[in-house]
Amino acid sequence: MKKERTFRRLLRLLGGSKKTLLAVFALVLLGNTALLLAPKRIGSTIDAIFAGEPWLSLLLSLLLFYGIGVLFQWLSARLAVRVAQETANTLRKSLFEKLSRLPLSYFDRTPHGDVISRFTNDVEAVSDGLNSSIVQLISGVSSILISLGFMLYLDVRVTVVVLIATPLCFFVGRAITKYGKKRFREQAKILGDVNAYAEELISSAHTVKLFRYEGRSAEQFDQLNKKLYDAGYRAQFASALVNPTTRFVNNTAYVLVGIFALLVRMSPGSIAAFLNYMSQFSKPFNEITSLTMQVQSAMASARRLFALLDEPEMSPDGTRSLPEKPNGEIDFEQVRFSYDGKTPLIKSCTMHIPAGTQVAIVGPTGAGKTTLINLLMRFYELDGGKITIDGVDISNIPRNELRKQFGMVLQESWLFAGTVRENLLFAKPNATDGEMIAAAKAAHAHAFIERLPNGYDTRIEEEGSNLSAGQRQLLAIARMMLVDRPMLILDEATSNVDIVTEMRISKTFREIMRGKTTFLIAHRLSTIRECGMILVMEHGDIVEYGTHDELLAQHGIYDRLYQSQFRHDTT
Amino acid sequence: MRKTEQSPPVIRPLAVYLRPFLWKCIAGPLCKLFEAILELYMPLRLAGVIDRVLEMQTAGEPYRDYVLREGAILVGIVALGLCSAILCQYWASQVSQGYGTKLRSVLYRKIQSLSHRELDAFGTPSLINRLTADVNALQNAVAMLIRLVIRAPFLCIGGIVMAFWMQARLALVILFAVPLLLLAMALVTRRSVPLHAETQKKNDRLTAILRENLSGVRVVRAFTRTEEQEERYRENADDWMRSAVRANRAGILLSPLTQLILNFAVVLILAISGWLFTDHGDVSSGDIIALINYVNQILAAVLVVSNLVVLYAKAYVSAKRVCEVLRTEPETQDGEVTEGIPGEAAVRFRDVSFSYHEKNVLEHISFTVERGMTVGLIGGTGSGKSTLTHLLSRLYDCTDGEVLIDGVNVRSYTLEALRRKIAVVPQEVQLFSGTVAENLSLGDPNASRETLERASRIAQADGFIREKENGYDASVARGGRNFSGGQRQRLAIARAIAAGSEILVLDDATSALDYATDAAVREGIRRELHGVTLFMISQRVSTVRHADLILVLDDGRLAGAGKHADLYRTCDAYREICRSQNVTGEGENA
Repeated sequence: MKKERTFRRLLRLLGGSKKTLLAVFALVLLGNTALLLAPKRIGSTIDAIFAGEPWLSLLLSLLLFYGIGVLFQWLSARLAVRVAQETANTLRKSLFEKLSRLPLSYFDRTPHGDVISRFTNDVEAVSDGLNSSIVQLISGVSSILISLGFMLYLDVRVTVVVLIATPLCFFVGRAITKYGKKRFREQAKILGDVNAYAEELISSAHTVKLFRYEGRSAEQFDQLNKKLYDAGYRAQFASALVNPTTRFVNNTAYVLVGIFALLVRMSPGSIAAFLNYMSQFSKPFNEITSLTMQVQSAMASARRLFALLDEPEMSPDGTRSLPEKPNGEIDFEQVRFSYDGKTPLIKSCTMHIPAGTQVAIVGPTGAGKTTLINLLMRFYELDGGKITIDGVDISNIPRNELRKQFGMVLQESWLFAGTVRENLLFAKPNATDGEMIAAAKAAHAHAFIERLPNGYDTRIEEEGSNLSAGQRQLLAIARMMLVDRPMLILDEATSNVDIVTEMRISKTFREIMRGKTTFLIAHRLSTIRECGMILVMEHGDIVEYGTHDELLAQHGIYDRLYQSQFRHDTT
Repeated sequence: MRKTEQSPPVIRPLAVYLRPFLWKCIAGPLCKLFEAILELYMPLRLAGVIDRVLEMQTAGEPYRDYVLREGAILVGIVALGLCSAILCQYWASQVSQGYGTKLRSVLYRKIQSLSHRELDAFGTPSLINRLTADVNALQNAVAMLIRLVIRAPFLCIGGIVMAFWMQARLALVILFAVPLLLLAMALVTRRSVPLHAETQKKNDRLTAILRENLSGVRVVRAFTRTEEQEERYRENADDWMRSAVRANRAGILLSPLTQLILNFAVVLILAISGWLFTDHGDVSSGDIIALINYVNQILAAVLVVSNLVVLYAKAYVSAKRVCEVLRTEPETQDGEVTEGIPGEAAVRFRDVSFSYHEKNVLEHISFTVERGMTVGLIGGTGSGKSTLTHLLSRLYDCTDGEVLIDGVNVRSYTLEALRRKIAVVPQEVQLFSGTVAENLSLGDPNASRETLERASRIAQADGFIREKENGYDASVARGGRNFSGGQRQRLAIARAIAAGSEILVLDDATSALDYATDAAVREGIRRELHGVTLFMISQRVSTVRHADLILVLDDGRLAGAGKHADLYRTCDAYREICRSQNVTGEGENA
């Protein structure tokens, strides 16, 4: 059932290039017919030569058949490559566009390696499967039918011998491949285990050394390695059996046909032609065995691709809009939220944040401080209630417009492979150099950027691996400074920056935060105490909120946290 | 494979591991050779039979018995070929897989023995690739060595010889066809290989864009740059597709070209035999049938040989990559001492300097730490705090001066003994897949459950471990992903405590913990671990202010050493740090 649907969807994907596909069909069919006429011609030529009849015209027509056949084969292969690559490309692009429409929860719960593997391995498997199956299937089936026709024409009795021998070869091959497939699956699984183990241990070399784990891990590795040997040599042997067995059946058929043809007194030319057709007839059978495996793996991959394409998307964007310069008055009205729809985190939160308030979010490790940011930016949707900005329900505002209201620096600073300049201008592509440098200076990043080999044009490697965590964070801050947004979110924005720089940046932050509603996740008490409002989170829920003094007076969780955490920092 | 003169040998150090399989390595190809001989002989014999029977038929002699007898012999030959081929394949599988297994094991141990400097130079992904993909390529190469390296060239050359023996003049055609075929292969490969390399590079770039968009999805969306990223992906995808089509088209030229050459050879054979037959009458029809068969066989073998060349070119690259690792001598060599000198200071740095990539990371550091002391290390990012502790456990060796533990130079200890003395909680916690208990007992595999539980209590980890479904036997996913950052850090602390070492190093180990938990962990360690020398690296003054000795590092130099109150008075760098964190000079230790 499901398989059927996958197959039909794959065909629909190919539908875009229907005309090219028809051309491929026609070319393959014509080319094959021309090539298959050749053995008959060879036979006739031999017979003509030995009968002393004129043979030159026969030979010239043979040459013509060969020429046409090869030319058409080449053209069809060229077209097939184009179809397969274009299909793969369309698929890849629509997958990427799909990613843009997926909610953030998808990215948080799916391992990125798995998504990447779908884009690369699976798309490739589908495109390879399409590419080879298009051409091989048509040409294989047409070869079988045309050769069969010619063989019957040459001699029915000998054909019967071939008809018995060749499918036998096909079934023997199938049986071996089936046995091999099981072994291969076994081997692939263990190989995966070995690779995963090696990857885990080698990338943790630091810990392995410090805890003197080298010897013990080598023993574990050897155990896995031994298993790999057991599965590996069986799989390899099984696959290595296919060729000799096929050769055996083919050669036997060859001998039998030769002998039998002599017994029924066929002409030498016919024998030659017949032997040739026989090999043309049996070859596709072997190819089809490997083809079905390829098609199967293409189908398996296609299923994974369609699964991604079928992921539920974000709800459509609303149409309300915010005023040009919103004040930043934020209200939570009976907000309910959970990540999985089952365990509620925020049960019912109602609070009012006046415009221009600095809000500190505090709470023990793992209390879900970033959840709040996820909700404000609509990375995740509420289960109930609403959040409003200047009275407008944010779920009615187009997401992009909402997000343009916030300047954000996250704990993990993300950069992409490109120059420093490109990374900064990411926030505002049309900013001038002056604006960019001003932002970098404000973030105290200008000095170190200048020291880089090519200044602002220095290339940053993938994920910023050639910069320190602190430098990456400074760039992320500069990027945020480049855009002037009415509200700010700072999630431990300076956690990786050294102490002196941090102190200087805090000063800048204090300036840009003035008059703007700001959400801060911070550890430092001095920062927290300065804030107009403190949100206390525990087990994912907002449990208290108010000013520092109000919360202390409540003698609640904040008071306890304060007593245990910050006592040391005060004197 | 040919090798350039200056590069060190590649084949011999790898061939050593084939030695245990020597006789199978020789017997395998011999079996394969035998099959190939039979395969060449079979068409020849059949051609003889065809000619003989045609003669008998013309002469009107009975030929039935002769045909049947010859048929039986031919089938016997084919069956014998199958048996020897199967034997060869069996040995080839055993040898190649055995070889791969051995090589993998040797290489794994070698990688484990490399020091950090070498690991950094190779890079983890590269090492993993060498251990997996490259060893697989070599394993494959060994299999092909046994299965095809003798067979394919033999079929090729043997076919030519047989063809000449049968009909020298007709066989000349083959001598023309083979070089043409090789030329076609060379041309196509030369055109398509660079195109494929270019395609691969574009593919890498496309994957990089995808990876960035996955890891940076929050930032991309926060800055509302989704559409620009889609455009960027589309452009690169189209670019890649164009080069993939180009590369593939260059490659698919090969099959029609070889077919064309092969077919022309057949036509030529027919044409020549037509002229010869009409002129001299010395070519038999059996000969022509056999010759055409040989042409097909030779050309198939030539194609196999060309694939082998590609395979071995790749295998050679892999061999070089594997050899490079095997040849690397780890910088950190074992010493012999296993015990320190009783009564000596726990740790002593004597004018220690360390440079990495020609950059001075630490310069002229000297200090002494007595047993049981708590040492705080503070300083900005990149000031060399972590590096200093790396020198203790010899993750790196210092470039100048000496590091002494219990009065003995760290280089004189066996690595096992040295690292047993030191337990480290690194900045980036690495947990292994397995159970919680397995992870905790990494430093001391024989540690009792009580030891582990006590360590976990000190590290404030006992609570959340017990909340897990199987408690201490709960499984840990790869990299500890089923635990939060703070939990991972506490597990790492418990692991280090459970190792029962004399020196404990906490390298910013509580950065993911909130103040309360952080304070509880520190308090627990101070209360419970008597006599353990403690190194605490931190950015927070509050973490180190109570230490017996605070080392202030500034850009690789020791800016100050002493207790909190004294440093506050005498050390400018320290005072600046304190002020930025609202910490004053007074304290319990003053």
